[in-house]
Amino acid sequence: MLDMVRSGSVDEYLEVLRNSISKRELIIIIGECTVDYSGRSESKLTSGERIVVIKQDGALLIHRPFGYSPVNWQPSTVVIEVRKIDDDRIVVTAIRSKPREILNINFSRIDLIIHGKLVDHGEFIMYMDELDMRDILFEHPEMIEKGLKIVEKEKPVNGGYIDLFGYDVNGKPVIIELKRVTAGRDAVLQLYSYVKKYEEKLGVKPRGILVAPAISSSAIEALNKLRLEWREIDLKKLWSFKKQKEVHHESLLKYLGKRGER
Amino acid sequence: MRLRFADARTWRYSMAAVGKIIDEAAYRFNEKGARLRAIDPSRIVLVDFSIPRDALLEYEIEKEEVVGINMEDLTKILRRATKGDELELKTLEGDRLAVSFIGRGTRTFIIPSLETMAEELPELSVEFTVKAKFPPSVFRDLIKELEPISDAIEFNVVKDEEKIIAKAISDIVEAEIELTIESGALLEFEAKEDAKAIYTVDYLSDIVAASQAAEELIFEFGTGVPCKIEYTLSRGGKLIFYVAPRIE
Repeated sequence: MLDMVRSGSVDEYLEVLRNSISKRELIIIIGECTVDYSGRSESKLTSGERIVVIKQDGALLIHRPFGYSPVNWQPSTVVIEVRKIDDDRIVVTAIRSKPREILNINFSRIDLIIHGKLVDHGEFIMYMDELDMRDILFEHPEMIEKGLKIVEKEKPVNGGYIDLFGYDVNGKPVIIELKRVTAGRDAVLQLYSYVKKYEEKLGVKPRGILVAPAISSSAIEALNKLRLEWREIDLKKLWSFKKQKEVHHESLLKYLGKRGER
Repeated sequence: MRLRFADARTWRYSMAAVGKIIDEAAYRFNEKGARLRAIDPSRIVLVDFSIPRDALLEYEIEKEEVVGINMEDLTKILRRATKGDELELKTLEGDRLAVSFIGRGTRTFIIPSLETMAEELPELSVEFTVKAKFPPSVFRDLIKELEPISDAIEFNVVKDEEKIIAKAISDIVEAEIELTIESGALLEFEAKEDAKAIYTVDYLSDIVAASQAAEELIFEFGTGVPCKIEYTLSRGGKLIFYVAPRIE
């Protein structure tokens, strides 16, 4: 449930804000203000019309009427205090303890306050996570290597799961470790541990391939020393594969080879 | 095999577009000439690049050779081609391909050829109902203008109106480009019936990267069927792309 207060007196606004903050409501304030920040550095924003959002967990954002990102923000606050100064101004102070940062928003005019509790249990699904990456490569192993056949995803080994497991064109087992971000040495060591465990268990040395959009130079060094391989993979390309699956294209195969066209 | 082609830039621009769609491809060199046919992994675009023997300045071939190439390697090298450069391709011992630019001096780059399982792709059979000839730059500009608006372009033809309308529609913006012979956008136009089809802009955008390779472009499509984009290269060479339509 949301409430809205417009054209209120300074005292009315003050009361609404104090009440809402103590109830940990979501608050949106639109008005003219100056902003002072001090903490790890210092900044001053001179007077202008802005949108201040105080979220139910105490996060605070100050937006100007343009641009997508807030001009000032406090990721979390321990205290949000509201007080009246000079009889006609409202000051909101948001304090973060670690690191200590103080944001003072000094309102010379408030146009509108919206406040209330919002409910949101929705799940945020990122457009491509490691699981998407794994699923796309599971279906398109040719993006890793020609002739590669993937037979299992999330294959359990002692103490972990192999992202993708398959056989190369020569029938040699291949263990593939995926990373969605630049892969570092830890990813290499993780892959190495799977390769070793597999070898210990089955007595066959598998190939190990690290697949990531980029690989750090220390990781490449480690890969070379451990005789492992790597492939850099373009996430944008993977993403377009995923998108293609969502928008339906006809396949050209339908038109191939019925009869000569020319 | 050794071949020599008069303008290295034809290959440069052609392969720039092919390389955006296909990572690895096999060139087939035989008595007819050189040909590269490949389909992208999603089976949405088919590429067919062919240079007949007559289009080559010099051609030495004993038996058919199939040379697999990493397109990124090749396009990187071909980017060195400048005006006045002839191109020489030569297969070397040990599965290697030498790419030389013969202009001011001879610059040679050698790349490994890949073992490829050359796909034998049969010819495509599609009945197109619309055929239009464009200056390649007009077609390129059309795609580039609509690209920021939506991820797909709809092509419409009303037979009797003798024009093509290309549309891109997003949630908030709509754009429409009308192409006629009178306005100079089209060089030729033929339609057997009304037509409407939608193609993904990303592919078209990759394909128009070849527009500098050719003097003319022939665009053919029909309702709900693939489109064919054919670049007419010098001396009978052709660069053809087929793009599967979207299903609404």
